[in-house]
Amino acid sequence: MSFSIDSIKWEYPCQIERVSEMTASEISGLMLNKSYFNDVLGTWLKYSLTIAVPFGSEADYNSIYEQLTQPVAGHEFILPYGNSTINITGRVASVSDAWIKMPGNANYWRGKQFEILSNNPTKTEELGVVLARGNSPIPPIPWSGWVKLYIDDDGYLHLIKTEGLDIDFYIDDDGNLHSLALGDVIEYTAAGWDRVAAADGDEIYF
Amino acid sequence: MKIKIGDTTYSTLTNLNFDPTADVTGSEVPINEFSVDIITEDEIDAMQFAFLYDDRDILWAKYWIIFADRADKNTVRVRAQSTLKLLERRMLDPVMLDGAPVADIVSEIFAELGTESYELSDAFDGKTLTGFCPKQSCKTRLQWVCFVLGAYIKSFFLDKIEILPVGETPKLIPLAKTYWKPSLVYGEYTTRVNVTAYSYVKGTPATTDTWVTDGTDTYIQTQQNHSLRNTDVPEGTLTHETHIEGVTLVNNDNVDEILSNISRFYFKRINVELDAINNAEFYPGDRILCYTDENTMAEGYISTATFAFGQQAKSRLAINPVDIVETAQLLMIYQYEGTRIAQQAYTLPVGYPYEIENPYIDQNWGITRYVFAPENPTASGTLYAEGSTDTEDYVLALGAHNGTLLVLSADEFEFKDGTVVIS
Repeated sequence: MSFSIDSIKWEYPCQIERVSEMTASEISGLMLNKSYFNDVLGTWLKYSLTIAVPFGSEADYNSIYEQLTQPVAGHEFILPYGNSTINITGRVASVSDAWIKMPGNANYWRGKQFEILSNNPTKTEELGVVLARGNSPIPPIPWSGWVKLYIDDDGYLHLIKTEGLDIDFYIDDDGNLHSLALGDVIEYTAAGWDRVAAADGDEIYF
Repeated sequence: MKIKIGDTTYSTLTNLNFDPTADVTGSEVPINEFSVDIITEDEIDAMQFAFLYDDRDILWAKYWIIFADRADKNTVRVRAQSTLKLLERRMLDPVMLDGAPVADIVSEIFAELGTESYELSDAFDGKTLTGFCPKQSCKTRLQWVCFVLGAYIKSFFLDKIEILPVGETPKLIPLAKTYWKPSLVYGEYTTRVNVTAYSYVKGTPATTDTWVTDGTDTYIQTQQNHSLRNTDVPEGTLTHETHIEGVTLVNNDNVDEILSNISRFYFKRINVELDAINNAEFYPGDRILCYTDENTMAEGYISTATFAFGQQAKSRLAINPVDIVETAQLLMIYQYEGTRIAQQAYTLPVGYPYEIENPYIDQNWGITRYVFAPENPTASGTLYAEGSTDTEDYVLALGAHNGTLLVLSADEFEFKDGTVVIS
């Protein structure tokens, strides 16, 4: 696994643990309506790394140690994040390892562990967005990426019920809600359930 | 929060202190200020303006830096004050006023700061002043004008100083913005308010007369005490009177109105202190309706707001003095096709003309999640003493099932880049 410290890339086995902290400010607290006001400042990342540098790579081991223990405000890291990587400026408060004395005068420092605390939040929201949403937002509905609907000539929306699609209602031409049994078919296209590109004025069939 | 000084905006701030004050009784003109530590290596000079903004770029204060000192290699400590402070050092000559327009008097007070530095409310259009002003600072004369007019000074959340009438329409601080738990402080009863009114006749005073001069003419001064008794004081309460004298702009024509104005404050003995989420919504000088608990409300004026900052802002509000107001319950019923889907009860003052936003309602019916949209964005009415019920109709807006977003009703939709855009 690779990671980068101050533009120097290191390729060594390591265990990386990640913690995201949604840090709230001191003005968070209980309201008179018994709801909790959570004044979140942002999301900060914390990475804990344990590096396994193999025996024989003492020069690299010592270089990493010296790099991390510089008395600086922070380092630039490139670390795994999701399916990619993330660049963060973070501080290292301490680095720990152990001196291992082997038979025959072979001695090694090993088990380097350190924690990276991001100096800046990796996620924030603008104050205007927070205030517009209010303190009791309706959380977003999970979005599947496309909408299963049918719009008829009069512009009414219809839901399409078919096998494999677990919908239990539809809206008729008058906009009334009806329940459906699984397997009922109102309308569908022979092309199946692929998303259809539409031009202005088209009717969409899913 | 951020501070702009010159062309530079500084957003790395610590130890920001801002606790503006307003006096609606006209007994003083507070000099408001803020102090902050700015993390910077820049050199910052005093004797220039500093602008305090929040992250929405809303101006909180435009004050004059009186102190800027480097605390360490990375920190400059700044203290900035309202330009009202400058009114203390300029003296005005004595003048006898006889129907002088308020606008002219205020213009003279602010002459050194310039006409763009202040704004006189148009509530004072056509108002005049009659009486004697001795040699006094601009600040003292401004305080006298406020006392006589029933006005107060707002020197925050603007780029100029405003002279405003003491408000009559209260703002409501909702339960959801009030921290647990407000406190009530009971003071001493004021049994009577006394105000001295002055009248002047031009002439040569006798040796026993009190007289004044504006530098040109001499005026014989007579005075008369006017008072108003507090009729709400329980029998047997010890006498505790307030005397206001020496404000020679008080005359026999305006004294009754002045007594009525100030007795509203002096005759009340309850003060409220509460913490509220306050993103530049509730200002000192505002007339406020607030909750002291879930079922009790009080009405009064904010005298001081002491701010603390996070992503949003919180302030400790001193509201004094207050009346405890009669409340009743408003029951909001939200229904879909005649079926009640939600309800919300509010405790509000009797007679309160409410306007409440109808919320979107998010519910799970079985394994399907629905969002209901209100047919009307707000509900409005007046609350009766016996309580009121308001029913609001809803339509189905969205449904989510197995991760699929289902659009159930829409105001309009269009096709755009292969996507249906629903609104």
